[in-house]
Amino acid sequence: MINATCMRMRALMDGRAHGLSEADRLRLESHTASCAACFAHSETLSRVVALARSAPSTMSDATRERVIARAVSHAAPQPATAVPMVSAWSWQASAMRAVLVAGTVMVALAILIVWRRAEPSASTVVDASGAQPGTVSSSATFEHFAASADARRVTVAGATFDLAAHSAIDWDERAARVTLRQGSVRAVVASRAGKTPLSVRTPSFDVIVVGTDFEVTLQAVRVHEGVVRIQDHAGRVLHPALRASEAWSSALADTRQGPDAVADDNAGAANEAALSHGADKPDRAATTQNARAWIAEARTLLSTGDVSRARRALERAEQLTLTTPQRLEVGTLLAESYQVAGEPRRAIAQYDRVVRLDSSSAAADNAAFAAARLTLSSGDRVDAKQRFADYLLAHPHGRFRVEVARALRALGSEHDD
Amino acid sequence: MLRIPSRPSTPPSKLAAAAIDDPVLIEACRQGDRRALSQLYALHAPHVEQLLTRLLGPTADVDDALQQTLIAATQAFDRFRGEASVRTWLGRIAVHQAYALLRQPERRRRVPLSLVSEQLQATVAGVDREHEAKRTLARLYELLNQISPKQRVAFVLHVIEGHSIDEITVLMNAGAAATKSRVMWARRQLIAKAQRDPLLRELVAGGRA
Repeated sequence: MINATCMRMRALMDGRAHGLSEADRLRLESHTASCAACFAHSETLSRVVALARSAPSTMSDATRERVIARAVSHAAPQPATAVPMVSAWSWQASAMRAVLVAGTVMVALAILIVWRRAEPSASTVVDASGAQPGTVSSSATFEHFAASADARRVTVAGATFDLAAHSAIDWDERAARVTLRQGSVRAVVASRAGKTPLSVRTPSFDVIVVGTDFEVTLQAVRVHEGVVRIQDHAGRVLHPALRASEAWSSALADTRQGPDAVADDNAGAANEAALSHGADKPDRAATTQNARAWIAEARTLLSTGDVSRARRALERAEQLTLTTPQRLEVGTLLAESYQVAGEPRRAIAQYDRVVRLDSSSAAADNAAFAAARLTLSSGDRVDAKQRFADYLLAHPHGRFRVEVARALRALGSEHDD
Repeated sequence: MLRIPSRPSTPPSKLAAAAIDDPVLIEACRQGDRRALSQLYALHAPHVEQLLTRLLGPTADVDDALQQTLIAATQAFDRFRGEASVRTWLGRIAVHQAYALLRQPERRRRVPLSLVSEQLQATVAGVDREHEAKRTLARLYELLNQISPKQRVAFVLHVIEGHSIDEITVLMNAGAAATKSRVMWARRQLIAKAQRDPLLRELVAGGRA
């Protein structure tokens, strides 16, 4: 069985004909110098490729000419060649066309310049505490404006913003961005397919809207419906996808990116006092989402062969509140990490733990089969046979029943011999 | 220690392709000028034929595939936009034609006549080296026939012809991951089959040149 590094090296060998980068070439050379199996594989592949390339042409020149003649006969009959006529009239027509095109372009430019000058200021402030009800400093920018005694509603670019009392926002139409200057704002945003995504900026972060209902204070975000992405002003992602019922706070977030920052902060963020919508206990949905992010991260890392980082991601997931399917998945991934690292005994023990966790689940079906197969490949045929038999008893309709029955037959006949 | 050459800045095949793309000739071909088409095909046919031979093996199917490729090119020349070189464009058509041929089930069952005659000759003592090489080559392509067409085409284009994975994704209308996976499976199957094959076993083990 070859390991992940050898598999990557063999993929590089496949690309030798196209040419390898200097770094890949050095990596491949140093690997083949230390790995006898890959060196032999490389030599074999080179011989096979050389043999395949030695395939001679079977076509004579006469045959090739006949093939070409037959193909060319399929060309459409040539139209009579038009003789270009350069007359005084054609020159006049060309000049006329050029004048018309130039005129059209100039008119279009003039319209554009006039329109740009007439355009209102891109930044307009709506101050919920200062402005009188029904007035706005530049109503031309807004599609709709409404006010109540202690709050205001602004409808802009298909989105509705409810400003709390003493709140203020700027609206930048070109960037499709609302900048929160003071207080808090709740936004309900329709889908903006094909347009610039709408964003809400605070002094410390940006919220990129993906069609949703959410609430922003100067430090925190809570999503009521849909998904938003949070990033700093330089575009660095602080939270890739904050979903419904989740909350996030810049006060609790550190400088780490991705699930690192989110996993630690989200439960606290759910209690963020700045959001006055009464979440008085840690948000289970938020931690479940974060666990999902860690599990996904671990799965990706494991597929690239980075076992140690995958295990760290799984440990982080285990520290969170997990649902049963998530516990099963974490257990399975941990077992796979031992398998990839060449520790079959630990992998088997971990697969056994998955089976004990929920023996009727699909994960247990998979784990029981994997454990039996690993036992067989590690040479313990008696235990493997017992495990295969146990599998059929526990999962008579399991996904691997055919393979298990075949393995049992092979082990049985071997025993008989 | 294994020494692997670095990637050249521009592959020689691309330089050659660019050098023989004459815009006047191409424009005449677009207009349906038969003499120009003949001239252009005469320039590129050997390359296309070599590509088809590697994709299909040294069989009579190469003649058919080359003819189908050139007919398809003739009929589509007015739509050739010149974004790629003529050689690349013809190569793309050739790959499609070869893939269509490989997918025909009756072709996959066919054993080349040359192989049968060589097998008979193998019983005769003192078979010369040329016959031996032919027989080995025919056997290799017979093993390639046992691999699925998608995997085989991806393998030949990447490992033998030296196309990049990105180029093959465009040629085969497939994702990069799928293409890499096809190459890997084809390579594994081919080497495993070659190592089991009595005729090729010695070659892949390094016994023969």
